[in-house]
Amino acid sequence: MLEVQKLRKEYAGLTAVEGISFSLQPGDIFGFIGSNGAGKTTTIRMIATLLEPTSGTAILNGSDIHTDPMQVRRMIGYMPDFFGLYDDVKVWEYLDFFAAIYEVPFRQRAEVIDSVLEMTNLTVKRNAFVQSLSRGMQQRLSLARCLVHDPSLLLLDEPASGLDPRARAELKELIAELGRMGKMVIVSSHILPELADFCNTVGIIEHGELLAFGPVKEVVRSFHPSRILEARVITNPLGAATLLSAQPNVLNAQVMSEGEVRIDFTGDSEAQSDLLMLLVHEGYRVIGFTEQQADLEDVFLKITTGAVN
Amino acid sequence: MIQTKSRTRGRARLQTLARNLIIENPMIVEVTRFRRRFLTFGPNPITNVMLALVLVIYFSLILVLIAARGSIPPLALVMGQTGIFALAAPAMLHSAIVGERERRSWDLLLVAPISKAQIVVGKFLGALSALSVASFFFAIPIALSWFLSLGKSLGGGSGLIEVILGELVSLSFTILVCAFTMLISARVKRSFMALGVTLGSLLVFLGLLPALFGTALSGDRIGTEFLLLGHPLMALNELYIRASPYQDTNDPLFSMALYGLPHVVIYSALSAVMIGWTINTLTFAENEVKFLPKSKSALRKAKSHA
Repeated sequence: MLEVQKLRKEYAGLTAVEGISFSLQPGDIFGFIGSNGAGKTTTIRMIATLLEPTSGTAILNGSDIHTDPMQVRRMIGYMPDFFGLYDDVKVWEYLDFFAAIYEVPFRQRAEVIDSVLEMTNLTVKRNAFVQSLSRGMQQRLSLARCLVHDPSLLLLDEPASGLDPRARAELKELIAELGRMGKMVIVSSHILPELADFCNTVGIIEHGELLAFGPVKEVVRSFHPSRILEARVITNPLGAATLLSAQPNVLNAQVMSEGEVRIDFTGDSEAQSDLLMLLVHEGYRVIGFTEQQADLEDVFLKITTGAVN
Repeated sequence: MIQTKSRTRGRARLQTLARNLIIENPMIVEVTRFRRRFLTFGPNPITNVMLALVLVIYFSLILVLIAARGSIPPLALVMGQTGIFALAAPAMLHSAIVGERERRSWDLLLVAPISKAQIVVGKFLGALSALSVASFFFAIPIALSWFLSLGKSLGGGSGLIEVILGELVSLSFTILVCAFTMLISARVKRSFMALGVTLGSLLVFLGLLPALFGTALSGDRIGTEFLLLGHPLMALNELYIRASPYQDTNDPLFSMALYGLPHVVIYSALSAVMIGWTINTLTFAENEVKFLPKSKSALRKAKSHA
């Protein structure tokens, strides 16, 4: 379990992180969302014991980053937003080096390396030099490095940046698999729809403050209490919009384009069905009536201002 | 009883230290990296060309020694070795730590459960392994030169004890240069800065200052030698002269206590101090932002300004 308690970081008068608190359970995949300079990387680096917090702390499985940083380091896998690979070593040597650093017993190392290479789909590159790998493969090698010591918490800072769509899809699947294995994963990313796909918890940070935290659906619902419906009618969309605006549970209805009416709706599914019936009953020829799902991007744009530290 | 206990405890502590820093130090992988980078032909064409050039020069040297039939004194080769190693050590080690920062692999080491001492000593041992291979290959022409000079009356530089002592001075000085390069590499922000500062310092301490002292104290041999007591080439030169059959053995400046062993001890001690200083220099990665720590007053000023 990870408990982050009022974590704060100041640099010579500038507050980069303003007392962030949250907690994660095994199996949680936490998407950390924020603009550049919002404080994501600083928070991750403090949890990784790379930066000393000005105040506050983080406790991983009972070990405090202040009092027992070495023990915390044994339990985390940190993947920064850059590769940091050695050019003059082979893939297996690179992993063996980090396995040795993380005190993986010598006799188990070959097995561990084979297993992480298989998991990251790099087995065929076992004897290749690191410099010969493509960007996507280097990213996967970085992830393999994080896994050699079987950490309970993975800190992935912008893991999908610069990857092509296929490599992104593979990485996404890999992270989801790590969550299923019971690991806690903190992923920071700008690609919000991707995070929503595999994260069960999200946090939105701006100006060093955590503006929202919780399961994806709850965060979306809490910032979007109303739902957006889209009705498509063949004739007289303006009349349809006027009719709908007068109904209970409808906050607003307006014509968007080509017969599309956008309805800001607070009712339940039955009330939604009643709206459709009303339109048909009043003679409007409806060819579409769907709910538009509010997503993380909407929430992010709604609650953040774009301010950076 | 108490003495035995403390001795046992001290021995156990030394063993733990040796295990952590040398035997079980994962950074020993640096030995492989140094070997691959500097001592084997590989994918890097520059390394390949340099290595080929070194081999050609090496075998040419052996041929020249054979052709000269013992007229080249071994201590002259030791002097040449000292100069070459003093240049090669910064070239090999200048990016040892700053290169990790530039490559941004430094964070990965700092976030791992490994001590700063293990990082520094591992990198240092990597350089020493390359150095030991190079000195082994250099020892062959030196031994050959000594062997060929047996029974010949050279001007100096061929006595066995002086040659061995000279070799020790040369190697311990190279180790000191390695330690100094590591220290600079830990304290600057760019690799080329580390190389420049190290070579510049060597130029000042081995070339400019001795020339300045020599000019200022011209004619005052004792004064000049006192000021240049730590200079490796001065020590080697004295050993060279000492091995000469024409040397006046009553000259008080010829004491073995002044040249040779003291240099080895001083260079080794300075190397240990510099390694310790390097370890102490490595602090949190926060220092990447402003690596050379500002004075407390400057920090206070910056804070109040902010």
